[in-house]
Amino acid sequence: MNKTESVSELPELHGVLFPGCGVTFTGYENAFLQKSGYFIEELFNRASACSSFKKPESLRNAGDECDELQNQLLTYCYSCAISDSIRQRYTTIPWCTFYSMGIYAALYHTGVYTFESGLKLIETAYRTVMKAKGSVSYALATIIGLERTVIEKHIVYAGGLLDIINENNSLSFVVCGECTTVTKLVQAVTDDGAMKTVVLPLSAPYHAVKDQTKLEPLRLCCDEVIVHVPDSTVVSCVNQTIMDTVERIKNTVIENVALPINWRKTFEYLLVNGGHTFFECGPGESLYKAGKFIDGKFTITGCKKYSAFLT
Amino acid sequence: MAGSEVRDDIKKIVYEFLADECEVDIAAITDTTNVIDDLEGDSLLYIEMLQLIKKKYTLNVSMQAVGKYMLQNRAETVGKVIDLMIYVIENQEKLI
Repeated sequence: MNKTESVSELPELHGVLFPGCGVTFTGYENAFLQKSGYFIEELFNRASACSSFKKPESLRNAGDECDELQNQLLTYCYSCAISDSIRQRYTTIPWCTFYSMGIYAALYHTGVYTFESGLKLIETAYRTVMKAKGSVSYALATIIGLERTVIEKHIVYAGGLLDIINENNSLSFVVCGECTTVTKLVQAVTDDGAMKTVVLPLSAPYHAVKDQTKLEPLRLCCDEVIVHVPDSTVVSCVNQTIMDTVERIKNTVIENVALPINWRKTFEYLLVNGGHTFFECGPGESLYKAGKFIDGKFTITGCKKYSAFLT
Repeated sequence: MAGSEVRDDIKKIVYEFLADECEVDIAAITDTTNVIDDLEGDSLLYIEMLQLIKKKYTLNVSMQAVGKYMLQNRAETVGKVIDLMIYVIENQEKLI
């Protein structure tokens, strides 16, 4: 493809946003890739050859029924495929950030490591976190329609192991904690006016690992695979700093597993620093939806809307 | 603004919003259309519509108050959504 010819026909993009795992596939991911002339099956074959990834039985139902790790690997494959397609069309897209486990595709997108290295990091992170949690059963839930202070009051009342691990926007939060405590909290906030609560199909306590010494296997894996700096500006969703050295990238991979993130602050950082047209580079439209309740003038285009530009 | 004018205004906002968000022809929407079943909408749409109304009418009402009200007064159809919005405008923080 001739980059110069295509760029003028396509929307300007200031930043690329990578969604986390557990997203709902819309079906437009495959349409986008087909219109781009991209064969994701080849990426699936590469993933199957070097990891525990199992190819979905059909593309139509991709993401519908698979376990937590498989869902994460599948989301990564799609995000990388969509990234490959987008990178063919733009000479540079200055900004990049990620939501939660979207970090692995963001690092692939910015040339920090190979596709295979990202798979290795995902598997290592998952297994390390599952081992670190011990025998405790964790659950994650999204609470929509209540302000942070209201949820915090309920958390204090619920007691036990429970944290807000992400602020999507001023009316949407993700909590993580022991299963029974999360269930109790979800009931309490529903009775107190939450518009929507969703217990997520996840059990790994990402963003809530209290003892970071237990993440040593992940640290070792980072030392092995992270060797390059990004070729565009990557902002951490943990602390909204720029990941511009190999050491900072490694630290962020660890922090992103262990500590709470804040999507609202991360996105606002991009808006303040000059971005206002973004591409959601992965399956689903979770970041487009989260953006609906963040103040500012911006657009987030995903596979669905972007497909209209590909004829 | 008189009561009927507010209703007309809210009806226009709700119809246009749902047609746009759910990608359906506005002519296909009626007051008996079910937001979840017929338009494949979700609860985020309610929050978005409420935010629109809050801004337009400069309302002093929390989403929590609306959420509590909706526990007892579900707004499943477009007509009920319009009724809900008008009730919120008229009662604001006193709606529960």
